[in-house]
Amino acid sequence: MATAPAPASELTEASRRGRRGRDETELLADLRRGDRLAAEILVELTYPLIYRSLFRMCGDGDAASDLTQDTFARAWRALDQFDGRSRFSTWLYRIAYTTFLNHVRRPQRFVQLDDAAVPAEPVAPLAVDPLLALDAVRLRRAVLALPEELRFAVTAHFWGEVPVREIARQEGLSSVAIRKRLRRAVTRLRGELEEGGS
Amino acid sequence: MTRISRRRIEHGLRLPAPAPGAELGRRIKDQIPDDLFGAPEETSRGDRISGPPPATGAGQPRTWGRPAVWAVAASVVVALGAGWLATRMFETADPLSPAPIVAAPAESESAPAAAVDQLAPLEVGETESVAQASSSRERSERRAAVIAKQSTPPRESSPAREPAVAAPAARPDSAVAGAATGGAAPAPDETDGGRGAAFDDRERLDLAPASLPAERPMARQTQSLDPGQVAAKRALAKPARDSARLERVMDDLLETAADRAGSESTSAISIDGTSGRTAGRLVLLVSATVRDGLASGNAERLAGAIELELDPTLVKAYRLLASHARDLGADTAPTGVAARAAATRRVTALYELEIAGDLDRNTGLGTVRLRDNGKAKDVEESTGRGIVAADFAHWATTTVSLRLTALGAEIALLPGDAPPEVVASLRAELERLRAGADVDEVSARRADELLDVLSR
Repeated sequence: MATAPAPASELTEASRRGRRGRDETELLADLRRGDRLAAEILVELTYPLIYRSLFRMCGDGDAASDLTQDTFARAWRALDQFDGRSRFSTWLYRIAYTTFLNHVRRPQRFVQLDDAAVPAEPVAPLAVDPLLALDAVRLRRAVLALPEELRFAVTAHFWGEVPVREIARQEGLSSVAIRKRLRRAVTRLRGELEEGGS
Repeated sequence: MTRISRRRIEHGLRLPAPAPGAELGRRIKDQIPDDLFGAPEETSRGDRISGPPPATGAGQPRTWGRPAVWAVAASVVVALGAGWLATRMFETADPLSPAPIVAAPAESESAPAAAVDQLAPLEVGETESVAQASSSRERSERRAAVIAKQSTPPRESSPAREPAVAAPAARPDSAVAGAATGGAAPAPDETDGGRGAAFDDRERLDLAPASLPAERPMARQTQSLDPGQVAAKRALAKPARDSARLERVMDDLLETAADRAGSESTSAISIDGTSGRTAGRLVLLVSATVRDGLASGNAERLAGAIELELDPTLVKAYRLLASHARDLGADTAPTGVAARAAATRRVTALYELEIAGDLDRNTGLGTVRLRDNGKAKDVEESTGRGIVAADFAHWATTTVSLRLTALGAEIALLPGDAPPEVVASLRAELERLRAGADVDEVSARRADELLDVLSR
């Protein structure tokens, strides 16, 4: 028999606070037992990270917000496929990354004339140094132009804040291989940026 | 030239991003589906099992403390997981690719029940009407109206004979949602949610007929090339219309294609292509020789991999229709590790591409790469070959063998409840091919077998 989810309104803040301290595995186990609160806490724990990583990828707060919602919608649908090979947040990051790629690669169906007049220049992430902010736009472009395996490693590690070991698990490679990929990516980025800045 | 230090790049990559508003978190929490909370004793697919839930990693109760129980549970979980994963992978028409992190369950569940041949593009006026809508909500409503208008009187099947390498006339992707769902266009709020992006998924999905699994995201795809894995996944996958006979015919067809590629091509990668049966779709056959991976010192991973990288501005989507791998010279090579290190395999894969527009003959669509990291651990080398529009012959003029292979793959992916018009369309195409003057005896026999499978 399916357990009826508890209405969110009935969940006390005390209960919420108590559960926040539990780790992902326990929360997922609770979720699978029909505990809506566990799902909400998982959202609370992970959505800032997913939003930040998507913001870094697309450079636009509204788009990042939309994509974050899409990411979670996809994650709920695909939750059965989560096999525990990596952490839940890592798995979620992978979904966010794919959602972002789908978003940027999807051909634009309808181009509003107003939109078309404005060049689609991504907004630079927040930075202390304006020069650095300028670099950040170029940097993002260069990162997104990397080959897939390098791009995933770079975005996951630097933007998704996923540890190297977790990326390695996700990719089925050794940590050393991921570190080599990161090194290769940074070397390549340096080449791109130096070329562009000359 | 400005010298940029590695440290500066890494620092730039770590620039802080703004924190999301609490409103976003509330919205996401509100969107948690209630049907997420099923009974713990049920698996995701609704199969009842006895005992604790089989969830790997995440859902195991803490009472599972004894090692023996863990060992048994782990083996059951691995077997169930592998079977289920293989099934999912087959459903996404990609049995060779690494485990998909994100499949598209909702998309496959909502697969439309109409034939792609019935899908009609929007008329020019209709397209403009939708495009001129001022808001996404209005666009959705107009689109739904157009779709309802289109789907009320069923259109005649579009002819299969389209000019080679030609896209559908006008924005088919935005036209077909309602037509494919029999006019039951979803309410704008359900699909669009005030944003264009959410709608797009379903539009793209609905482009495919019911027989097609949901598309995979456009990305570089690296394929594992172990024939053992292929066999295992095929055995585990249970397509509705599958039969040993169909599998044998497909193996024969792909083996023939591999033989041809091996004998006619001097390069490591050979490609062949044709325009699909329907406008806007291409069929690409890739065949490549790869080395076994033991030379890299890694007994479990193969060294070679085919990578398909496509230009997203020209190719909207692609999927793997069928694949085949076999050892080359395994019988004659010495046994043991040395033999495996030297062994090669020929892998043949059949893809379907959905193109975004008309293509000039010289237009490059992307690259097929053969990546080889077998020479030394973590050292990758790749050879590539470009894919151009001229590689795709017109469906009517392409070889019988390639047409048969494409049709066989399409039949293999048909679900059990495929619409009769899809089946009829395939049968008509097979009969046309069978009656052609250029059909040899072997191809005729295979066509008969496919017709027989189709009629069951």
